[in-house]
Amino acid sequence: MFILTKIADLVQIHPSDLEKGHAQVIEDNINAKYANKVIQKIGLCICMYDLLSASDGLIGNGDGLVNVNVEFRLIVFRPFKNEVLIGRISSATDQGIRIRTAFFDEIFVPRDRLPEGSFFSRDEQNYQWPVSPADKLFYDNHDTVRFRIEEEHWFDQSPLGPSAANDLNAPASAHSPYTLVASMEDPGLGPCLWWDGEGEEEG
Amino acid sequence: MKILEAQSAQLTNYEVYTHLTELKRKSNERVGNKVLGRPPGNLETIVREILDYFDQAPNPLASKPFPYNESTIRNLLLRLREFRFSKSEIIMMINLRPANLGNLNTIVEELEGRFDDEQQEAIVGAICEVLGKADEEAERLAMTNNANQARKESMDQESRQEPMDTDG
Repeated sequence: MFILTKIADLVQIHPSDLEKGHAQVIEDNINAKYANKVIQKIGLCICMYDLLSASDGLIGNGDGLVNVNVEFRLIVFRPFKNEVLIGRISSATDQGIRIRTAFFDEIFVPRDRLPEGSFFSRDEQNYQWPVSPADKLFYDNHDTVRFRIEEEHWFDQSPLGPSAANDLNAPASAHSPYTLVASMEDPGLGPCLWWDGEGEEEG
Repeated sequence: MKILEAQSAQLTNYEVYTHLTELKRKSNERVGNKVLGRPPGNLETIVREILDYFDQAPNPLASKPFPYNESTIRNLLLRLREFRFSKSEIIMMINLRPANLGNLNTIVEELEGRFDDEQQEAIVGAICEVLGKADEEAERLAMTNNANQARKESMDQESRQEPMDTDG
């Protein structure tokens, strides 16, 4: 679920921050730049894990900024393919189910990755899985679910050039930079309440 | 910015948890310190959200007594060495603590083909011994409560929004 990524970057320390002590300022600057942000093809950055090296501070002409070259490792949220995670259902449409965790909202389970036979109920706005003719199981909103990561999608949000930006027909970019597609069709996946009780009966 | 190594290591939730709680302790110490000031706001947000996530049942990090300590990962690896699991399978086991065969089946690929019944029981037993067993009833209760509370909050929000709409 979490990985470490090694990055080299330039940190500019403002003179007013020099009182804080170098290690602390560098950490704060790195966190201010990366925490809670997505780097394309890397993942959602959480915070600095450790500082590997820092060069001497150099002061350029014209301003008092101290320039330090640093190498550090970041904690990054990037689940691997087939990883099983826990989250909560946030909403359902006839396209599929949206899942969120406390810190990441963009997880989507398309309807064809739900157990066979499950359908979307327009009246109740949720998915239902008929396990037997008389018995249905419900994917209610806010239920805690287990799901398996299948795909990841990246959308680069770098600004468009003037020619593209002037094209009024171009759809505004409403994509999140990083979205995950998950499945809940295998036994054991889906609402935790369905599966966690079984141990008692067997044991 | 230059990426030197996209993935230099994988972390378990427990390692992230210890790092973030330590970070939070340090940032609490900064309260009232005029020189240091507050840590960056985006950092505080993500740290709080992740710790919230870890603190929700059925995450093992939320269960009491706390199932992990410094030697947990090592002990688990020693116990499971004979089964030759892949690294990702071990990480999921540490993160999710599967307590029955159904849950183990989601984590381990081709569980039934690779291990006979006796071995499967032994794996669940080893995980249970090292990481402890969840209080299932309490977890179910917590999950139901969480869901109900969230439903109530979203209902409250909807009803609060309606009068605002008529004003506007």
